[in-house]
Amino acid sequence: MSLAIGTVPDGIVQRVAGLAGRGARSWWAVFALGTAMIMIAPVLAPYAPTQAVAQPFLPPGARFLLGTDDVGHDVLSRVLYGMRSTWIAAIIVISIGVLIGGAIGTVAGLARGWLDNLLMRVTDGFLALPGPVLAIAIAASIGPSFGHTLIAISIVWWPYYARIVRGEARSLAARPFVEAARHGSQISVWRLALRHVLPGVAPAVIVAASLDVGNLILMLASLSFLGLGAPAPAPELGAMTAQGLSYLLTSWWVPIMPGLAVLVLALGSNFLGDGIRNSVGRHR
Amino acid sequence: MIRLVVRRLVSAVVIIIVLTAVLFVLQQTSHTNPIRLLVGANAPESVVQAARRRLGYDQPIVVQYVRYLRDLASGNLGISLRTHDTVAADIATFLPATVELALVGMLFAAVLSVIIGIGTAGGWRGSGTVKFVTVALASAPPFFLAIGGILIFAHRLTWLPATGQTSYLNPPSGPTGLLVADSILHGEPGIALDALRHLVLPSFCIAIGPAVSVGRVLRSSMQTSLASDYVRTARAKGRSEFSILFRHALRNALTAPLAMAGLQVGLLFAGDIIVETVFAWPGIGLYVEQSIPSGDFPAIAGVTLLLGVGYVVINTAVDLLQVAADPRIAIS
Amino acid sequence: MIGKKVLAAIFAAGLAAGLTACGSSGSSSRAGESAYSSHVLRSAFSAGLSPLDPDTYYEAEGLAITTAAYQTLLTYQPNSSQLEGLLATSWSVSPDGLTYTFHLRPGVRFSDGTPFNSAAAKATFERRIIMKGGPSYMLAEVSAMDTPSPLTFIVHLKLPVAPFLDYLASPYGPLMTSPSAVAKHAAGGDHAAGWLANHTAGTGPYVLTSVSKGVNYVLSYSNDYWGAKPYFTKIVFSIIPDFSTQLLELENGQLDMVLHGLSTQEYQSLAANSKYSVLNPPALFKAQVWINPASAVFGPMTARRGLQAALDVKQLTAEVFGSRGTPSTQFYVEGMLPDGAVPDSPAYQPGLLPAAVSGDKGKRVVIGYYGDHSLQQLADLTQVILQNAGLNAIVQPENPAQVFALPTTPSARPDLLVASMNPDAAQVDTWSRIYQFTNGAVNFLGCHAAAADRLLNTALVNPSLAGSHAQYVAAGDLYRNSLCWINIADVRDTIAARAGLCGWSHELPWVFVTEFATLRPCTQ
Repeated sequence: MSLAIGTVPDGIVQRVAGLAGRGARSWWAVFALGTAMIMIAPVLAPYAPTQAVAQPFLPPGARFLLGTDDVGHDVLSRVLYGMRSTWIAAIIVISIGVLIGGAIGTVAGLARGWLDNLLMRVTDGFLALPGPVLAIAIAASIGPSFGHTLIAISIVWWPYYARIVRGEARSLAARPFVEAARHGSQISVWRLALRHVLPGVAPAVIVAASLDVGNLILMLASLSFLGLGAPAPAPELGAMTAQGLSYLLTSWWVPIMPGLAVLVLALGSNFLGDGIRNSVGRHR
Repeated sequence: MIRLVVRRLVSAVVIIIVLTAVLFVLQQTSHTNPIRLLVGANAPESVVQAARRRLGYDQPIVVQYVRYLRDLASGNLGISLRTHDTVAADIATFLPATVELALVGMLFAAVLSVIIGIGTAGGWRGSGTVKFVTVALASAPPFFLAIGGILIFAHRLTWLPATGQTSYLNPPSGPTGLLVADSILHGEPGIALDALRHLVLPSFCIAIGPAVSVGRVLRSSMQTSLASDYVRTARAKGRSEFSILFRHALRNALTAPLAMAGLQVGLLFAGDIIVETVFAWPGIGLYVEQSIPSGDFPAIAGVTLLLGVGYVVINTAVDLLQVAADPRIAIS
Repeated sequence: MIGKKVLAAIFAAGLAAGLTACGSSGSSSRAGESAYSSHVLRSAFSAGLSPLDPDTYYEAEGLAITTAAYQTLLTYQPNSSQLEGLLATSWSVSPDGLTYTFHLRPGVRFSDGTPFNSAAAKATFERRIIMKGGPSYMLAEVSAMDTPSPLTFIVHLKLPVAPFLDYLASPYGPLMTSPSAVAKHAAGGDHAAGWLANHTAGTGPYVLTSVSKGVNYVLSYSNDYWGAKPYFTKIVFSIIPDFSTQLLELENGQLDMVLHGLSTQEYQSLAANSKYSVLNPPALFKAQVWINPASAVFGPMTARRGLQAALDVKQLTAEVFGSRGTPSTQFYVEGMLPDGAVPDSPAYQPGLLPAAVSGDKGKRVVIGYYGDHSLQQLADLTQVILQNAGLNAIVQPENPAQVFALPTTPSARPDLLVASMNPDAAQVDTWSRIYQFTNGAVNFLGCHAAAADRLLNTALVNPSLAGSHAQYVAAGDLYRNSLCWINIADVRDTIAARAGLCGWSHELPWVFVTEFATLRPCTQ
């Protein structure tokens, strides 16, 4: 049973062109700019994120734009570093997801028959794993850390992409040009995949990934809120909110600022995803 | 159709076996001592060891695993190290509250995603604003939304209660386990209304994420569908806009949103744990969140298995719905 | 597109502004709250309670119920380590410390109407021994018990037990339980453990009348109570896992009392508001930094001395605990021994630490912490001090299941552990034996001093109170000199309530609880 998620209309060429089209170009610019800006957080941040620089609980003011937290760190610096680490984590998880899911999906989509069945059953199995509970259980036993949480989420994130890629690959595999390429010459399955199928699959995957980033950012923040993620004093947005909650009614900026930062990141990603999907979809 | 159901049943069993194996391995590698918590932190070591022997935790891991699977086959999920009740009884106590929250949340989400998806595609007035507001709210992490909701609606405006499922000490616990339904069946509309008031904030926090995800996919599918020849023909035939939207375009646009909805139900749980914690909602999210600090393995395993099986059931239901909506799918 | 982003930013700012406005205003405007006229007191627990069996319950929050429903033979005077009789009106101890004779209070009934007498006391002791629960160690040396008359109860011990009377006053001590109730509800040889998980059968002013799993616990006045009728005849504990939510409900008027869990800042803000009162009765908590003797950095004594000198006890206590704690000046918990018996006030010398760990620059140090945000803040502040001394320090929370595995899992131990522990009673043995003794049940990081242990064992069986006292002091000196434990503060219990309540009473070993039976509105 094929579940082609995020149905994109016909026309590979048009879709690829859409990705490079004028409308999409501005979004790629935003993406590049956002990534660059977040990567240069170390330069932008006025203080080191794990250095106590002043009295604790200073309200937002001229010297510390977002105030200081319960130990005396500069909240603005911690938030900037936190946004950077969240973005990096999201990119890593999605890349892993796309790579693993894409590989499995391509093979399944092209292979058909028993291999396809087996791979899809495995994918279904992973999809049935209750991701958050598993991530919590994993981190609770092997110890919370940035790496462990990334592994736990990646394990439950890739099946989504496997299904998309398989759906697209299946429909592409039925196309005359792929059939021709397969039977026509001594072309190996690898070259078939690389040169003919992957470019066709790419737009759907990119659209899905861009729509997915927002969800992933929220999932990372939620797990960090529950205590999984890099241990203190590392600047992790969800953890900062959770630890700051007890100061909500007396020093509101300590938990609210990191929470707002997550909102800004997720909102930006959602608009980005919408824009990319729109540009691709516009070219019918 | 039957083959599909059978295949899914088999995969459910496989999933249970794999999940339990994973959880057992995790329990072994973890450095926790839930037995000491069971008997009390300051207890003498001899008491802790006696309890460990009594509960069979001193056996080799493989023996424990086999025993667990054997018990599972007869419906025995073990005894919670924290509440001292059977895990099955605990789940039976806490699950209905989560089910009620999930049902109301999904209803909310369905309504919102229709407005976002069909409304914006069909150009309804105000749908753009609704879409914008919900997208903004869905970008907020669930804990932020929950706390903000409590601060604004419970603390500042005092329109809604802050926590819990009900303000009544002994509400009816009737046939369904869903407080709103039970209250109505027992003829207590006041309690039902109060239960609804308690449901508003938490179910909204649960609904917002899925509403936006499904809504966006629905919008995309609707746009495609509305541009198809089929709809163009219907328009040419002079059908009403409502009929075109809901009877013609929607039928062909349901596949992808349904798949996304199925996915979202699975992702629902992460937000559910946080929402139940912040709102003190007595469901299995709260139960699991309290089981983790005490390393209550039987409870964690029980809930994880329940979720895994539930996910398979929901996936199957979604697939069946998709076939019903678009019979062409069954052929592929 | 750009317009939407601007709108989003404005929305976010508006949300933040709305929340800050809420934060600063604080109080709700619920007019017309009738102050306590319904004789119902509402408080909260942060989680469902473990079974409340009086002989196996060994945790903290449920003390609110067990201290209200059950009573012990002896008790501590409020805020003091002096013992006085409760269900025993007088007592005597034989010179060899092996025979204790108690004269019981007449006219006392259990909540099921049956009378309290020496047979009931004996049955209670026997049940505790049979149940072999956590607190059963208190009666380990009991060899025989006599009941020559209904109001005379005699206990014979195999060996002298110096803290025996303190055990009988501990909130975890033998809680007099109705033997008729136990007999009536016993099922399958469980000695009524199943029934006692959710019911009480004691002599106290209250009885547990309702338990809604995951939702609430309700205590009601026990009509058979032998003492004065309390003002509050019903106490409801709702289960609210999140402390910020408990605070919100207190401010909304939906809760009357928050028993623990708020941050120091929140308590300060409440105390400054005339609508609330914040109580800080002394308790037996000691906030300490524990040292792992196997730590690469802090194993050597010079490093430990440097760390101790770098922790400014006065400043840390003020910053982390405020009025909830007093800087520690002695090794044992305040109140256990006469002040000054085992002094522990090292001078603050911040320069010692960087010099002591100069060879360990950049080495990773794991600071674990177990407890609430105060402990977390203390750990964070320690991390800053270590970082300034050139060490790569990280902070790591230890949840209960993890922290109690530390005594038996050396590989999982952090270099330092910040924790605030409390003993069962105001007696040195209940403290040192579990936390400091070699392989003690809760000796988290395995640090020890064998000579001190020997002194502790001698003191335990010394029939002379003066003699054992001197030996406990000597043991304390040795434990202190081992530098396994750096004391920071003596921490108090903290209770936040709506203003207007009087009749507060608290006992030293109590945790997260107050005497509900004496509470009443100040206007009464």
